[in-house]
Amino acid sequence: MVIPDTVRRPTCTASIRSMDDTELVAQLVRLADELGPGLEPPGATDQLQDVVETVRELLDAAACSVAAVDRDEGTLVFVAATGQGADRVVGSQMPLSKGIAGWVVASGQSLTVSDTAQDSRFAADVATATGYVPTSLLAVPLHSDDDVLGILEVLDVQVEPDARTARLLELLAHQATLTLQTMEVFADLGTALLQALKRASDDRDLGEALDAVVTRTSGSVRELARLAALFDSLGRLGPEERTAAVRILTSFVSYAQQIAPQP
Amino acid sequence: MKPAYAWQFDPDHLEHVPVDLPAAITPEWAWGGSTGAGVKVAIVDSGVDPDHPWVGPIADGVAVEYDPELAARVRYDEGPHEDLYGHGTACAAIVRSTARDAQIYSIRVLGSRLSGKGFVFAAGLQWAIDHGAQVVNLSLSTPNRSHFAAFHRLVDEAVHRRIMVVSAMNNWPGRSYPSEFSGVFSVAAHEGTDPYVFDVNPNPPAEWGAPGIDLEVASLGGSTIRATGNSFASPHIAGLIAKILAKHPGLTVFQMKVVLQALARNADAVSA
Repeated sequence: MVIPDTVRRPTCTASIRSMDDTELVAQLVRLADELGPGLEPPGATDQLQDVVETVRELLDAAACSVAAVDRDEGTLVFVAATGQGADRVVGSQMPLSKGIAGWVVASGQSLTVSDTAQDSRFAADVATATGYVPTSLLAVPLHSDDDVLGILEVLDVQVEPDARTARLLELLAHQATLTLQTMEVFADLGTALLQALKRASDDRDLGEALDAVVTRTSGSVRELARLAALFDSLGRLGPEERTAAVRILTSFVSYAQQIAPQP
Repeated sequence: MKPAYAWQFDPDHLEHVPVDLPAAITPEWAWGGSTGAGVKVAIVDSGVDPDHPWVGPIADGVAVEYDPELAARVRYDEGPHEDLYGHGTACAAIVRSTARDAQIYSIRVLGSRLSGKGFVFAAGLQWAIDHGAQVVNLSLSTPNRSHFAAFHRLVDEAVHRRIMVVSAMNNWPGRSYPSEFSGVFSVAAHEGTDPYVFDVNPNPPAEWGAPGIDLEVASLGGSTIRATGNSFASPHIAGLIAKILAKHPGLTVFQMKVVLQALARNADAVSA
């Protein structure tokens, strides 16, 4: 999910304005090859860093981190950290099958450990590698729909939260979840569109290429690609049809919001 | 850090609750002489290890697995199964600490799969309801709004069938289902280790406070660990309910709440 700056900002050798369609598609295909799924919305890791620093401050904790679930690799990737061992934590990975973090992802339940030395689930080797072994920790799953997108981990909390702090912690965890969700959707959509562009480079229509992506993928990528294909088709229709489509979608969203359960 | 909502049971902040009943409800009346014998207690969790010395033999069990190939999206594997994490064994042992003769049923819903947790969790609760559980301990919850209606229906069904669903509040502040529903016994941790001492919170959803901070609990391989969590408070209340139910089998869910309220540490009798 995190990509080096050198890859994130590829340089274009020719002005887009001067390209014809064939050149543009060729350039995009080259970008697709370079970027792959490694896309990230701007500022996402900064947002997560703000969250972990604020949580650590509120709880006077020794350290705080956020790790994202990488289902393809079966790992947790630490994307933001602050406090003890933070410099060694960011970018590190651990298997989902390991440690308390792995348990939290698998179960979807938050977990407090009073004494890590006594808990066989605690991955002491991973902690030792960061240079800081906590006595206690709290690990919280960051949920989206039915999936756990990542975890928020707080080490050696010194301050018991009051009701006001608790509300802030709830909001901060929600903020981290939204950021991880945005990163995942961004990567999924980027993957779908880039796959479609690569296929379109063979002189195929973009909408058809997106349809092809739909048939070959599943889950959120499939749904996003289907939506993108539909919007591509809508864009080719007349203004009246587009206006009607907007009205239908607006009505549906309004209805869906009304029937959705409230927290 | 104490689990979320534990601060509501801090003695300095906990309000006293006036209780006005036609006759005194005492611990002796409620559970004196009872061992929870015959009461079916379902532990919906990671599995239960019957070989742990704090648990002992259990009545039966089922492992519920997410299976996207099936129309119902869940599969039921009835019979013995291992505890994958030790969490369910800890909960069963806590129930046994007060209701030593209760019939424990292990309903394993916490597995290794990363998807479908909400469906599996709800299916486990449904299995418990359909198979005659009288007390269900849920030391787990979901924040997923899309499961709100399903859990609401299940809890209503349980209440109508006089099934006591005991549900731990989330350890981190935020919404959690079904523990926020009024039809369940929502539990958070308070300081202390006496399993017979609990509090009632006049400002729910965290309605009951029970031991769950820095406790020695059962774990995998016959071992014990020191642990903290609302997860461990919930089975304390479940065990007491089983104990009461063995002696007073006809109680409804809301009558049980009245009995517990009368016995809570912070309850003040209005008339005697």
